[in-house]
Amino acid sequence: MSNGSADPESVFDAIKGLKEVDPSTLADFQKAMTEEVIPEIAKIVETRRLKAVENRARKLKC
Amino acid sequence: MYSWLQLNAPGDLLAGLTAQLSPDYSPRYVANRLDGVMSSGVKGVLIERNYIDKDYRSTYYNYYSKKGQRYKLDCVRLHFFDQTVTFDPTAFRLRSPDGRLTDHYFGYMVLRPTGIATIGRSVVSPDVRSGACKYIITARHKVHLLGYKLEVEGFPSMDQHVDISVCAHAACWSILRHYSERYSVYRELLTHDITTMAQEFDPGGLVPSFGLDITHAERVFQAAGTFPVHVAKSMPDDAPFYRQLVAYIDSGFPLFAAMDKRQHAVVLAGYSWASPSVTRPPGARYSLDEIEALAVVDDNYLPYLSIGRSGATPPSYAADDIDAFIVPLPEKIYYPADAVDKLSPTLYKLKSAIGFPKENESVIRYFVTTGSAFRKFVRDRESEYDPKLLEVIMSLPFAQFVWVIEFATVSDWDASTVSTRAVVDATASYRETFPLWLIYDRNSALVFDRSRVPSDVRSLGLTTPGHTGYSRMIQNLRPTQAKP
Repeated sequence: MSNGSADPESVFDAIKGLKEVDPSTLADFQKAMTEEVIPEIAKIVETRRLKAVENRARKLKC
Repeated sequence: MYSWLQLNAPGDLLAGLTAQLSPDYSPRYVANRLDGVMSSGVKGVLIERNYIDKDYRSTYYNYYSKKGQRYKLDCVRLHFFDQTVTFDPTAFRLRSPDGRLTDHYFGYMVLRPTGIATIGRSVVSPDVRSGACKYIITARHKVHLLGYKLEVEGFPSMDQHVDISVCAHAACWSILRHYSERYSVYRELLTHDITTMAQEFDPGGLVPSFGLDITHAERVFQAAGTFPVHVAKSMPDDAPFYRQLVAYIDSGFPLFAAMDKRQHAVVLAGYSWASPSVTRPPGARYSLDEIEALAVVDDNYLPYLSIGRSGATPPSYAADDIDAFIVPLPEKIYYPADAVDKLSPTLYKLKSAIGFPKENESVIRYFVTTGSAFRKFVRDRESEYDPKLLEVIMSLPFAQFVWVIEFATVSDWDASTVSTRAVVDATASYRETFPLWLIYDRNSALVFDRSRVPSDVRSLGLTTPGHTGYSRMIQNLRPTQAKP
C-alpha cells in the first residue's frame, strides 16, 4: 500500500477533500488478508475446483 | 383461429380446453397443470390456433417429421388476461376499459401437438402464480397478437419433450432464452440447438433423451457465449455454498441447479425473505439466513414453484437437496464468490476507519452488479448521500462489474436499509490484499485508487443527510405483485 503523493492521472486529483490514511488503520486488515484470508481462499477455490471435477459426470435425466 | 374462454368457476378451464382442443395438445393434462396453481386473477384465456412456434418447429424438422407417426406442424398458444379484458370474435378485437391491454396481460403458454409433454415455450407472469416468491428474475418479453404488441415480464419455461430432451435441456433452454431476451449480447437458441450444443458432435436420434451430464450443461452455456462457473457442495451443510447460491440469484443470474439423488435439474430464479416478525437466533447472519423460500422453474410444474430451505419429503424437494449449480456469468467476473464470502467478515478489521454494526448483531449480504447500475441506484437516491461521496462514486473508474457487500443491523434489515457498504472490484484477483474500490458508512469512507499497483487509499469524512441508514440495493429482481 503506497500513500505517496498522487501522480497527475490519479483519480484522487479529481476528488476534493480526500485525506492520507494512517497505515496503522489498515494494518490489522492487511495482516489478516495476507496471513489468513488469501491462503484460505486459495484452498477453498481449489477444493471447489476438485469437487466440480468429481461432479461433472453426474447424470441428469428426470 | 381464435376463441375466448371466460373463467368464472374452477372447472371452466378444463371444460373449455377439452371442448376446444384436440387430443394432440393433451388439454386435460394442460388444465390439470394449471388447476389450483394459476391464480384466479386470470379470468380470460384467448386460444390462438395455427401458431407457428419456432422452438417446436426446430424439433419438428429435426425429429418429429422423421417419424412414422404424423405430427401437426402448428401449435396452439394460450394467452392469459384479467377480468377487464373482453374479446370480440367478429372483429378479432381485444378490449380493455383503459385501452392498455399490456397492463391486463399475464403471458402465454404454447401447446405442442405431441400428445405427451405438450407444454412448450411459455412466459407467464409470476403475479398469477399462486405462492410465487416475492422476488423473481424476469425479462420483458414482447408478444405479437392480433396486431397488438403486448409485453409480459416473466421467466421462460417449458416441459421437457421426454423423447428428445430432458429436464437439463429444458433448464438450459429457459436460462438462455432469458439471457437472449434480457441482454442483447446473447443470441436466441432453440430447443434443438440446445440438444446439439451439449455434445462434442451431433448425437442425433434419441441420444439426448438418455440425459445430460453436468459437464454437458457447462458446455451448452459455454457454447452460448457465457462463462459458466460450476460450484459443487463440498459437504451436506455447506453454508458458503448456499450463501453464494443466494448471492448469484440476488445478482440477477438464474442458476442451473442439479440434484444428484433425483438426477434432476431445475432453474433457481428468485427468492422470498422471511417476514421481519420472525424471531431470529442471536449471532452474525448472512442474507441466506433471512431466506424463507427459493423460486424454482421446474419442467414438471408451472414455473415459480416455491421451495423451502430444508425438510421436504419426496416428491417435493428443498434447497438442501441441491448438490451443485452452474451460474452462466458474463466474462469479466474474476473475483470468486468464495473470496467475497471470506473477505466480507474480514472487513470488520477496518473498524478503526469505518463504522460497522456489531459483528454478532449484523446481517451481511453480497451480490454482483454493474458499475453503471450501482451509479444509477445512488443517483436515484442522491439525497441520502453526502455530495462528496456522490462525487467519489461518480468519479471512480469502476470496471464493468462490481461486488457489493452490505452490512446491516437487524433493525436496518427490517427497514430495508444498510449501515455500511463496500464496493469490490469484480475483476480483482483473489490474491489481492485490497480488492476494493470503496467502503463507506454514514460518517466516513475509504476510497481506493486502482489505477496504481498496489492501489492507493485515501479517507473522506462525511456529513450524511439525516437518515439512519442507506437504502438497501435491490435492483436485479422484480417484486411480485400477486393477483389473487
